[in-house]
Amino acid sequence: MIKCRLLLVVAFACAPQISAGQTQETQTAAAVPPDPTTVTIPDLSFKPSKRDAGRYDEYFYFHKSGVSYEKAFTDLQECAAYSQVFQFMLSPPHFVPLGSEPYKADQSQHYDNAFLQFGLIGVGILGFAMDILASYDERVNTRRCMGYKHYQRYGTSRAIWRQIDKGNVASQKIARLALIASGPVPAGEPVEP
Amino acid sequence: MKFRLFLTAFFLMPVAVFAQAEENFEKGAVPQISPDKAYFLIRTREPEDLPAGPLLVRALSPDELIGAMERHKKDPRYKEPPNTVLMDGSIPFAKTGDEKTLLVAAKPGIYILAAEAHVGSNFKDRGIMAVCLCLGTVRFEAKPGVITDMGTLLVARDDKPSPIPELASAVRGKFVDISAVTVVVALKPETDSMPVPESLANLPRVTADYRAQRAFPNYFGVPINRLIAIPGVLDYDDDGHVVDLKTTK
Repeated sequence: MIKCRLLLVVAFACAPQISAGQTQETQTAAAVPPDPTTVTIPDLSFKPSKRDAGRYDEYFYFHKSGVSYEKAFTDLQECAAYSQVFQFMLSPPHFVPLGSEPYKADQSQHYDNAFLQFGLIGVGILGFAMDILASYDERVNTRRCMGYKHYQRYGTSRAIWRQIDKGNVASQKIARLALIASGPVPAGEPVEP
Repeated sequence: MKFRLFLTAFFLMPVAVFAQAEENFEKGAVPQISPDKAYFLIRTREPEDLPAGPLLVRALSPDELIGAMERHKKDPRYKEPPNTVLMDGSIPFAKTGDEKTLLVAAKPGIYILAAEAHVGSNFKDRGIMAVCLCLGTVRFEAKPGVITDMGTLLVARDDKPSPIPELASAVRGKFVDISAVTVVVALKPETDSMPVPESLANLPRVTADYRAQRAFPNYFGVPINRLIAIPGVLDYDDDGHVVDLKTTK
């Protein structure tokens, strides 16, 4: 039993190192905006419930009068790039590759510690928590970045947001948001940036 | 068996073998000025519960950068020589009222004010990164053999109203989402009215010559923000892009 546990400890300790070696850079080259005629967006109208209004920090899109689809796509992509690496409880680093692209985040220490203290359950919980924290971090960063670009933010429902955010192709999601951002002024009042 | 487990855990612990990038001078310890080191002086006003920890990053030469990237490609865990300077507000050189003076020595070069960290006894190691000033900040040259006076750094928590007038309208003043507590940062370049500890008055000291630094990648993977505009140095256009006021006069 102990041998099995030791083997698992070593396996989990090595796993992040192996993946870190395979992918070293995380910033991707700027994508070309998809043809807007191929992009479909959901009907944005909805009757906000009290619950919807309490979740506008989580479900939202942007709009800026007079902005083109291409410009909105570039702005959204630029802002998204600031959240491509997420570091949990990072201590101030001794070295920063200023001038290069950011290195892939190394979270192996946290996973090692979680496994040593709580085993596989700890690793599972940590992975779940990391995903949630990374999402929150991305939302806060995007709001800050798009706010400085003078985009208005509009809250939406979870159901509509899921249609905007569907799929696994980042450029398609950004394209939907860019089409909304450059389209007609949304109904309702904007919320704080 | 417990001993074997302990050994396994011991060897899996990350080994912190870092050459220290900077030397923070505490409690009025006047440095012997070395001709091959740069000295950084900054005054800070900050929240009581979160001592300021400005993080400076030294620009790398092309050779340094290419070498670092190649070594990282071969071994992502390779430890490069340090190029950051953490000015630790929890161990100030001097403190008067709500203002601290920090004094640090490090390698000369061109530095950018890249980030702010939470430091102090509440945090392990060197603290925790609070915010990356990725969306716009300043750079300056720190020359060897002199103290570069960086002026006064103003820091406020983003989730609470700030009593610092320069930051009062910049903070959100309330909790947003569940992300970590982040901060808003302003910098006032040195003026004659800013006090200098008497023990440093006779040492060679120059005012930091700030230039606007355009946006850079979020190397830290933490919340982002930008340094508040500085008259005559740094501003932002309607697209949120940095405007260098020294070159666009």
